[in-house]
Amino acid sequence: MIDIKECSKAFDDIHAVNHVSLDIGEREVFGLVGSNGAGKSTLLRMTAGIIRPDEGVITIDGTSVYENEEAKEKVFYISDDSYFPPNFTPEDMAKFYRNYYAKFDMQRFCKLMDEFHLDRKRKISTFSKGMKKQLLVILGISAGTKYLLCDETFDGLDPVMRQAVKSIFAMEVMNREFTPVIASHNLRELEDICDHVGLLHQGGILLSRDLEEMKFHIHKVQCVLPDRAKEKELEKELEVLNIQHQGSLLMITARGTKLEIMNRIQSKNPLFCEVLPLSLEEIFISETEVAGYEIKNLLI
Amino acid sequence: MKSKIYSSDYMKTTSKGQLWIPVLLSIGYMIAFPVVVLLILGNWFSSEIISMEQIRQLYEDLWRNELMSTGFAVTSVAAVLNGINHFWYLYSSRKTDFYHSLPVKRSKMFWHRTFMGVLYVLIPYAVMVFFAICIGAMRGCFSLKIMGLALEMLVMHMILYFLVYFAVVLVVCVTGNILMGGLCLAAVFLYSYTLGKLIHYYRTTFYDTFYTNVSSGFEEFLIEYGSPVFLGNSFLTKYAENDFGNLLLIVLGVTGVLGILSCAAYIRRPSESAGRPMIYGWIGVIVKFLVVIPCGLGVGLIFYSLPERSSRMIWWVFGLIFGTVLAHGCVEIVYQMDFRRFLSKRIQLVLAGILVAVCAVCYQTDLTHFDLYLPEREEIAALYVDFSSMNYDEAYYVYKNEDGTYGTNSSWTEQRAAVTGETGVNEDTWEALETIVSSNARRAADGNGGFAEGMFDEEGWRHCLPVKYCLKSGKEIYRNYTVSPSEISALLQGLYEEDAFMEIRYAFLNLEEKYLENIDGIFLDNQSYRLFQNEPEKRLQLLEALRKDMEEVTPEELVGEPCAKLSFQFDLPHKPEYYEKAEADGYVYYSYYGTIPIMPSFKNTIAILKETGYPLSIEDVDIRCVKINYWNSGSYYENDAEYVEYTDEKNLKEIRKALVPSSLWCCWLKYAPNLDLTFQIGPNTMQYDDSGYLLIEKMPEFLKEKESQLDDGEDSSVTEKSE
Repeated sequence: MIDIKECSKAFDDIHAVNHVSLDIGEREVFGLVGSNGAGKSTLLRMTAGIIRPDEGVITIDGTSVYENEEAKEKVFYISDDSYFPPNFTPEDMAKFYRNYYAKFDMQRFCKLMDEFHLDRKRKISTFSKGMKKQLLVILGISAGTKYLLCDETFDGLDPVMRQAVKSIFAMEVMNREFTPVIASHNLRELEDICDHVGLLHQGGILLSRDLEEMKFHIHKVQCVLPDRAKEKELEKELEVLNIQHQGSLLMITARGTKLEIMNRIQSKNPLFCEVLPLSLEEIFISETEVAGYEIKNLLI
Repeated sequence: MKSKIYSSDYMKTTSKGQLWIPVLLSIGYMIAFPVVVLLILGNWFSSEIISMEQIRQLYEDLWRNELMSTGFAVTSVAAVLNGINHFWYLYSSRKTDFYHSLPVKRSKMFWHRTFMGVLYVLIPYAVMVFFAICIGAMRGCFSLKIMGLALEMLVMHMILYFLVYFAVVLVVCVTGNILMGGLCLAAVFLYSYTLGKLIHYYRTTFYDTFYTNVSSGFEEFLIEYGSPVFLGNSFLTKYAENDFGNLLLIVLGVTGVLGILSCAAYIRRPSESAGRPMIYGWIGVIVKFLVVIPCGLGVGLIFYSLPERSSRMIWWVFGLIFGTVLAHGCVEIVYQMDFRRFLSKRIQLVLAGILVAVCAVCYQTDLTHFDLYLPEREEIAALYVDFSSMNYDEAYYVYKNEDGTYGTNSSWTEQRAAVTGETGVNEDTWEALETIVSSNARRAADGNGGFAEGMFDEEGWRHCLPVKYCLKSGKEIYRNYTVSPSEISALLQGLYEEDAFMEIRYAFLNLEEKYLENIDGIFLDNQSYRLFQNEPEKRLQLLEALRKDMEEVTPEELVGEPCAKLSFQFDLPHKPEYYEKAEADGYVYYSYYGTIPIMPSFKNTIAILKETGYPLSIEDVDIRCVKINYWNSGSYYENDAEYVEYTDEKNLKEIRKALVPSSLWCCWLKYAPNLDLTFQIGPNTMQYDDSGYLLIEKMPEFLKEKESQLDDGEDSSVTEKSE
């Protein structure tokens, strides 16, 4: 488990990460969401042991990660701005990494390279941005590390490749101890893969929730009630996160199970009532608006 | 798992794209070793005068000298290349993220990179040294000693490699971008030399007794040992002299410290700092002060040297302020990459300004009492004096080697050139030195100090006298005094009482007679004659007579008026150099000349010289005419002079008493400073007249009056040259 406790990091006057505490469980796909400059990359770099937090501790399976070979061997970091030594081919990169990661699987690497139709002997400098991202994912998977930290890794991948990578991640999580941590500014990108999402804003964590739990406890309902008084009663009875009127149609986002919310509405004899599907983005918007944040402005 | 970064597989992989370094170094070492050996051996073998035995000896020296130097040059380049190449990534954020995300400790990564660098150097080095040895062996120059020397050279070069390498790595690790790295690298190699030179120029400008020809103390330390390359170079010099033990320990110590510092700087360097000018803020502040203060002083000195003397101080102050502000601004612009930051951090600017002012005042007012310094008499182990600057004909001192050959000192500062014995300086010498020091301080206070300020003082001629004090603590201190004739006379009288001075000054008197070739004499007619050319016995008699006179002479007599000057030519045997063809006896012969003024009290010598018939008294010289060019004192560089010819016998008789031919000029005698004198001997058949001087104390009254008339400006309207 990755345990981030009260971590802070400042670059001169800019507080990139500010007292962030976060637990990343095992065998789950963790999404780290936030706008540009929210501190995602800094948090990932600290988690990868590249930079030292000014305050707080980051431990991986109980051991501090900074300058710790044992802990760092469990982590593979894919940077947003990737670097490959000059003249290296994918095969060279694999050979390079296998000297650092004991569990590096050369066969797996070759197989994945073939599956992704990437030439192992071609110079990486001739690869496109997307191909480099694919290569990094393949290297990360092949390294056999427990944690894979991906910084905007899906940015630059085409939808097919994106799905392929997601599938591989899902397979890996199923087959072995594997926890990808995916940082992205695009919530929709993470919606269909993440089990758990952490939202960063201005260096601080706004919330960190299990996706299923969130979906189970927040619902959006549209209904038409006979009169205004009943609307007000309903508003008081439900833990409303958001309420909108479109003529006589009332759209309510409220905390609670589907059954609980529907029972309350039915008790008011609605003329019409329907539960609507709630996207991850809407859940976040609803959650964060309560906290006073204009999250709509932060997410794409 | 322990990372396998020392595995051959890993090294092979990571060497990809780096092979240009060993290739480049191979070319460098090929030129440094095999090519140099080929060239020099070729020269030796093509020379007909060098025997095979000499070549073998020279070949051994080649491994100790030339190959050490050429190898060091390439090794230094290798160290710089490796240092930059292996740690350059720290300037790039994405490269830093890539390498620092790897599961390996920074310390391990540091030493691995160092190890890789050594491999890049060692392989081409070993191959090329092997080729050089093979080339030597093919030409018949091979021995186990050569193998030993090659191994020793390898060890020394590797030590020097690490010295330069760690210095470069330290710079890269404490800087964050290419501009700052480049500037700091240049500073590491050149800063100390530049600072040393700046101190030198300040001392030259503001200290009247500073001896400019030798760097000593802190200045010497900065110039010779202040940067890794200069330290390495000094080490090579000492190594060639086989006197490198202490310096080797220093080099090892410095290398160790640099290694620890660079490793610590690498480990502690925050990964996110790539791109910043300076990684550690406090180093940035120190570097800034190290740059701003010398820049302020340097610019000040430039402005000081440009204008006339009267306005120097104002321009100097302007230069100090301008240089300080400019340097501070430039450093801030580089640090913050913003031109608008020119005048930021004003407190630091003020502090730097104060430090510049303190340094400037220290020099200007001689707060350290540099000019007043005179070691305690008990502290002085040996005294060295350079009389050559006073035309005293003794730049070289002859000495005999154990094998019967002779040698000459190349410098007055050499150990065997000490003019005092083991007991230090005597009372008279000490008092003379004390007088000289206080006179120099007085002249400096009067604004008339320093040789550069003028040749004359209240006493007439003034001379430059470099002195070296060797203290019992081992410290060597140089001073360059300006001395008047009376001061030099007092000093000489003191020195004549010293044991060593006579041995050094008149060493030629003790040379073996068989090497005496010629004796030349300069007499009062200002002419030089070869004496007893075909009478070797007579020459030996003259030498013997002089020896006898020198035993009886008193110091006071030795600083009198000479009536002649003798020059003894000895052809002395020397050990031949490899390029010299030896005589049948196996030696080469060099001529050595020993000169001595002959005083009227040298009765034995004069008795023999009288046989030559050359004039030993000015009365014997048939002077028909004396021409004097009077200069208005204080206007030496202007053309307000009066030219007078004296032919009247009465006047000539008076002038003759004070006249000294230029060839018999002595620095301890006081001559009239403000006139040029020439004289004509016999009927006017010569195209050129002889030149001479007039002794002040014997100067006729009518000449003094003429001189004072000019000084008073009464004859200022006379033409420049009147018959």
